Amino acid sequence: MITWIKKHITISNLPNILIFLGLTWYILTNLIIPNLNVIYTTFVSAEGDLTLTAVNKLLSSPRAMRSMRNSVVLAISLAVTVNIVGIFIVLVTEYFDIKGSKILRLGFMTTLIYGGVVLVSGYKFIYGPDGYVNKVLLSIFPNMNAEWFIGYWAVVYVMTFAITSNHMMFLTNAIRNIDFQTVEAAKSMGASQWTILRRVVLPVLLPTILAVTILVMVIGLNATSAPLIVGGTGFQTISPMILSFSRMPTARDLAALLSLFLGLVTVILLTVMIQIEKKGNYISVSKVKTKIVKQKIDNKVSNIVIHALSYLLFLIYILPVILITLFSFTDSKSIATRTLTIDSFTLQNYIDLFNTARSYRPILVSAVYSVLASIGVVIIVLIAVRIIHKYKNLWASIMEYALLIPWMLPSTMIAIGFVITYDSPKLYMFNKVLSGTLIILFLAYVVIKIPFTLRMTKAAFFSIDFALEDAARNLGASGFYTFMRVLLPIILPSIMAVLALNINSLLTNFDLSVFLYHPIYQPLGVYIRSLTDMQNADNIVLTFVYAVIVMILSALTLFFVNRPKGEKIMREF
Amino acid sequence: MKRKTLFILSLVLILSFVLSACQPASEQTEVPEIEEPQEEAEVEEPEVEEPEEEAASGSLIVYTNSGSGGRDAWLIEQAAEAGFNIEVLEAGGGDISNRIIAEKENPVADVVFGLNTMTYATMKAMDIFEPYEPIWANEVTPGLNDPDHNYHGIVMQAIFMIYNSELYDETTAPSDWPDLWNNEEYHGLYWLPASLGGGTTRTVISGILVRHRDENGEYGISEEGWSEIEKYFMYGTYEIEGEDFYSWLASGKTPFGQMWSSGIAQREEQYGVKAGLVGPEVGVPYVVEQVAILKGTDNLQLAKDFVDWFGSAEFQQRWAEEWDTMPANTLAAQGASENMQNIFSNYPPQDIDWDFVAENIESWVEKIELQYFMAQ
Amino acid sequence: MIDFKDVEVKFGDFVALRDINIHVNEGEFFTLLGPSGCGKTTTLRTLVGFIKPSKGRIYINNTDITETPIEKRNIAMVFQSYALFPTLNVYENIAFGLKVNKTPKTEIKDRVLKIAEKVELSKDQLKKKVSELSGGQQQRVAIARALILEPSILCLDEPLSNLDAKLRVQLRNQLKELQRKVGITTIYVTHDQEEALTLSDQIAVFNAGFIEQIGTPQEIYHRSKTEFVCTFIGDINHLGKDITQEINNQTGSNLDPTKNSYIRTERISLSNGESKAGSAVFDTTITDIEFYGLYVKYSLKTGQASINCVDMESSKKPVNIRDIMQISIDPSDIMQY
Repeated sequence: MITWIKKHITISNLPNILIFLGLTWYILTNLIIPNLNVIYTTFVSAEGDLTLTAVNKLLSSPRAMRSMRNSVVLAISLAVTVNIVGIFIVLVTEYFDIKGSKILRLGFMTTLIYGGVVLVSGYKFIYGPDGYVNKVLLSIFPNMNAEWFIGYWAVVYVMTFAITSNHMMFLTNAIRNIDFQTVEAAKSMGASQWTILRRVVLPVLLPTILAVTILVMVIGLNATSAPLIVGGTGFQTISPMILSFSRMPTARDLAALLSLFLGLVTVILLTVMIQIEKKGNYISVSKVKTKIVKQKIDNKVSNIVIHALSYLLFLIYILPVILITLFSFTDSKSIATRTLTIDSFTLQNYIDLFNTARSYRPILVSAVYSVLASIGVVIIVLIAVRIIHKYKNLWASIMEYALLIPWMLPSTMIAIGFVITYDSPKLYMFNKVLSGTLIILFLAYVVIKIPFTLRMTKAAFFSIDFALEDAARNLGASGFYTFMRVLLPIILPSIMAVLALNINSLLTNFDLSVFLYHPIYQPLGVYIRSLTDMQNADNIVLTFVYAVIVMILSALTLFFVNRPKGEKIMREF
Repeated sequence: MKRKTLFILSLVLILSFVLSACQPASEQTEVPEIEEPQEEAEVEEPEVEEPEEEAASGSLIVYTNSGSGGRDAWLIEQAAEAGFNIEVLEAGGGDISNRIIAEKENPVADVVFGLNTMTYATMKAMDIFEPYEPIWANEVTPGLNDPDHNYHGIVMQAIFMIYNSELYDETTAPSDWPDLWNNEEYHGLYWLPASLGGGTTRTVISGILVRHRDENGEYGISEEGWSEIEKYFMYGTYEIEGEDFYSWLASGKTPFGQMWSSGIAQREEQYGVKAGLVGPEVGVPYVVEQVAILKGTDNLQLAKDFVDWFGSAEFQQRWAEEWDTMPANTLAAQGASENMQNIFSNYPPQDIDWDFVAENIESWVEKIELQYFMAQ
Repeated sequence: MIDFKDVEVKFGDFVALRDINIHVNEGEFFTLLGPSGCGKTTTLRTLVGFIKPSKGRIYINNTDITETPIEKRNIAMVFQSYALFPTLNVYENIAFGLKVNKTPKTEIKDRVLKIAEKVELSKDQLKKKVSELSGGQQQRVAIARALILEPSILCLDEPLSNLDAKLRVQLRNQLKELQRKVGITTIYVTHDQEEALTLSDQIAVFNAGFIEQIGTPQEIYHRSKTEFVCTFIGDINHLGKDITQEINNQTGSNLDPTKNSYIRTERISLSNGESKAGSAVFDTTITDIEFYGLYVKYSLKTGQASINCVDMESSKKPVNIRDIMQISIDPSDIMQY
């Protein structure tokens, strides 16, 4: 034993040992202990006995059963609808020759810059009882029920358009990597456009489509905002129920149990996804790939129909964004009556917002938190991926699975894990109480972003030619130097993209923030939610103003990191 | 590498500067340090903390569920005039009490006000408050203060069922809560909350359930009681997230629903509809909002001074005038509007055993959530 | 200069290399040849230091370097993929090693320019991204990057394998020329016997983790020590029992018909009636003709046996498939195992 220690612990690998210990400490204290604590409270009563009371309570609750069923139904429905819309928009922007496809693409990309409460509120503003669409419909069918935009179909409708962002990101890439010669070959053999699409193009995209489908289902399972705002009593799902139970200290076991159910389904779905990934993508066999040439649709009728559908979808996507933006410049009266006149436009909302600290502070708080947490998560994940990549041993794979834990638990539960674990001094947290501090929200933000970041970074990292590292070592570079100078610059574009997506999604986070925020530093998501809770016209205006600011911030983030310039700026440092 | 460290360091510094700058300049006080996690390496902690001495004379953090509709901003302003520098966190009653309990070991707030007696009783049992007898304690209506001086009464609220007086009058409106579900003509016309976390909602539930107290029943309530509450949650129209009860009351979508007494006047003005009050024979549930100091505050003396000022007859009178409340402080009662005075003299309190309620309310709400809530 | 003494490498339970004994002389071009998975790259990586042997020692100039860390061995390596750093330009790639050991900037510049000239990279090319270079140029960058540290040994891992055929031959020659010019001891890994034969001073033929034979190209080719070497190198005919017996009968030689007999395709002569003394003659039917310009390759059949042979005089009178062709075999050309 001692010889083992002597052999393995030397001055030269001291930094490695410290990193190893640090990471182990981090995983234990941030990912494992808090979540174990949640499970512990579910199944162990206050007296220390194993108990199944929570299980029985839920099994005898018609509402809980219905919510679970609804969540599953929603996940399955979205798997169908999101794929239909998602594949369609990717095809019309990337594969078919559609006039104005660049503008269409911009429209379809709007889901990348806003989501959650803001997006659902925007849709409700349009399709709700007093919305524009309703006005038009009512003028045609005066007897129709004005409150049709509620329940299952409303939730599916909103979410279908809200979460095609995954298709835009992953499927677009996949389609761009298709070897176009296969399309040309099929054409030369006399295949029709439809046959080529069905037999040549879609099969190549299938693994990506399946992976995206799983992601969509996971999002569907965990849906919160849409069921809350447009689900009505008829279509409630699990997440809102978890949220309300977790806000009652005595019912947290129920919340935890429901979360475990969600977690279980999520794990099953993710396992399927990993299996799909293992089967591998169809890597093009050809060495001389030809870039894709956009296909003109031969059939005139189809061409017109597809053009029309594309622009209809464009309208659906762009309408909430445009109306939110326009109305953010009006007064509450215009909002209440949904009328836009030239003289109702004003900059006053924005001036007011930036003149009162109370109003703009949430934006700053969230911006700072999102940026810091996103950087934090990237650093942790980079260290972890480096270890996973370098040492393919048991410890490395245990670590990888531990880092994926947050994917199995809704963020509400992660928040509660932190609250119940660190509301008293713990030796392994240096005897510091974390609840009520600024850092607890930061830690939790980092935790919930780890799995996504890990998967993306890992993919980027493992695509690097192994020989590069050997080459650098051969030229005398240390592991750290190699990492900083050779490996990191290669994956930097991917890292920056992940960073941007993380920042954008944390900017308006609500579920987790509401449990952990420091009262003086109220984050944007919580603040916007408090506005929508009491929805009078004044609050709607404010919500829209915030929505516009969030959209601008998100768009800027995406713009900054996706441009080569952004990459260059980062490299300068 | 050096450049990289420098970059991260400067980033952290800039961002923390921004964070500290978010604070109004006047109250640069106990900003908890922004700690980076271990992994962010040897980055030096940015010094944003002001010296402790200043913090003591600095500001207070006040939690309340009674800060909506601009009350919080008004209070901050009034307090500033009186020389108190305060931050107010306003959130739902359930959230506030959960937060206080979660932060028990490391309290962020110095003072809490609002909520209701039963919540304070629960928290008192957890040893959360710093006992202090304010100078105005003796002026409060007898029986409302905590005998151990953990908390003291400030405002009395009556929790009413109200109706749209343009559509209904005393004869056509229900005369008590059970009418809502027992009389089919009201089905679908009364408002139900989308969440059971609020204090008002819980008081309404308590007011209905305590009428069916039965030591042998589940959680102390007879089967009949549970069947009553089941029907209550069966035949109403649930709130939709983001929509306001009063706009539904005004539009006639749900002409009936719950309201706390001091919230009525402001909304009548805002929505231009006059509310009718239902006065059941058993009486109206009264709740008492309290004020208390949290144990572990860094600013104990300041907190005591603030409570002395906040609960004083002079300020409570102004609060009553501004927000149409019924002060618990007898000397401030004259500040209450005539309307409010009438309410409290015309609608006697329902006899509720609050100890019994405090003991069971969480179980009740949980049972309702699981069995009856949104079961339509 | 380089000595492997009883080196063994294990990956878990799998023995990747065993009993490796190699001696490489100063300035020699030494090739590790073998099919994929035979251990040749493992041997190279063990020498460079990426892999630690489980047994045995490695010496450079009689100094034991088995435990010496990679960066102290002064061995440069060129990778199969070249492993050029995609985010650095050509200049930065070449300068990488110097920068790591903190060479002054001016010296870096001098040395990069000097080495670039040696491998024939222009100043313009130095400013380019590595992805903008052709395969051949990339290879030269990789070699320059390896040579700039003035290593005592240069290791090349299949450096020609991702180039097309014509370029491969061209670069092969340039490589050899460069090696002669620099005079550096070179260890070269390839699975291509033609490359091995043309480039090497010595070749070690690997099979399944051990060395079958070490020798000059001529020795390896003409005096293959083992059946594996014999079949792996060059074009070869396997002669069946019947034919071996027939050769014995015709020439009175005493080949052992129970052993496996082989003869290189070019050692079979087209006899056209006239038979050389001491050679056996066979009548065969032509089953296929491949015209290579430089020579013609015939696939022949005699009885049940197939034989390949080449005719260096491709301009001779045309023959057709199914024509009869007479061949003669000298029993001294036959290798038996």
